[in-house]
Amino acid sequence: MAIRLASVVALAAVALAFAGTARADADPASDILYVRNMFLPISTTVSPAAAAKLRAAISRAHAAGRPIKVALIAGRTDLGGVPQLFGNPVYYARFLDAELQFLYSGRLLVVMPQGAGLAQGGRAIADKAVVAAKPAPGGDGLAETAAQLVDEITTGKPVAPSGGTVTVATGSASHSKSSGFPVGLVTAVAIFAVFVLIAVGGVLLAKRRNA
Amino acid sequence: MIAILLALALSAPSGLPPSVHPWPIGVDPGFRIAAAPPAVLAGRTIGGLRCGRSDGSRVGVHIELFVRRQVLIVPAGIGVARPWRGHPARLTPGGCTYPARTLDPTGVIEVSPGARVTLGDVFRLWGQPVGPGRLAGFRGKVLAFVGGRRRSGDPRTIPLRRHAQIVLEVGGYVPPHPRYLFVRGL
Repeated sequence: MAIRLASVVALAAVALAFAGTARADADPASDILYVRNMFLPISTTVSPAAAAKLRAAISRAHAAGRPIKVALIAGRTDLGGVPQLFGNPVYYARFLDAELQFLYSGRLLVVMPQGAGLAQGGRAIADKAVVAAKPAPGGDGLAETAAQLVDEITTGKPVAPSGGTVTVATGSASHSKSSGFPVGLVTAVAIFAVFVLIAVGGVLLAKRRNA
Repeated sequence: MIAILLALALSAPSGLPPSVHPWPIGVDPGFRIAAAPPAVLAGRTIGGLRCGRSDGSRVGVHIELFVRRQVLIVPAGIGVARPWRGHPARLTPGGCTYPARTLDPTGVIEVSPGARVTLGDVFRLWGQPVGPGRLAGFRGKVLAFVGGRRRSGDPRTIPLRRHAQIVLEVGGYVPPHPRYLFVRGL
């Protein structure tokens, strides 16, 4: 009985550990950033002027020796096969950064209507300006916010919002790295370990009783 | 005790990002493949597929390719004859195109409505081999998935139906996406 119970618990633990694990690559941004430094949303339009402003900011960052790639995500469609990541720019930044890990080691900025996220080397970067960013609506709002953030990240100094459409908190950018990327994985492994311990305990208990 | 642990386990992910695994894009030489052979660039008929100038609506099909658990990029320019404008991230055809074509490297294949094209046709236009034991320049058992479900048989015969999500893998299993969100108009 105890052995059966232990087996069931162990199987449940395995199922839980892998539950909810989705897959990629199916996000258009990674394929575009493979060859470019900027991904513009396909679900809405960005005016040529706003796109040019962002492109110029990215060029300045590269010229300053602080390369950066930027993805603007305006809607779920911009995420293709991983629409569940919409609304979580920090996680998507880490996700995208991991996809590009073999070809790019610089910073990666993601701007969504809900906020912005910055990542490098598979980890999120807790930049004050990025964390506090509140993009204005629409494709141009995302592009304006992104251009401003790129300049702040490059210079380490706050940049005055242009046109009053973007709200970015002032303050020097701190670049402490978070340890967050594998939160889900670590949780799953921890849960799995607890269940395995229970299962092993059950087996030992059963053996002791049988003996 | 078990009930408590199960409750804890189920409640733990709340508020945390969803668990999604990213697969890196491959960068080795075999992963960088030109979009079209000379015959396609010249607009010649390829395996019964004619290069035409119809600019009508197209339907979308999404394909994903994995080799050794790394992404093999499907380049922009498959099924597009010279000349074109733009860059590797977005092409605008200036000449004829085939019933299946890619205008960006996102894996979205634009298919002429009503055209009976298969995955094998896409690879023919790409100039790359594909089959049960071959995926572009890579050899090994090819796993095929359509809509997230395993599809047995020769992957060349997979039809390109509207909004199909097709995954080919060689050298390692990657959980396939069941669907893809297409932009309006595809």
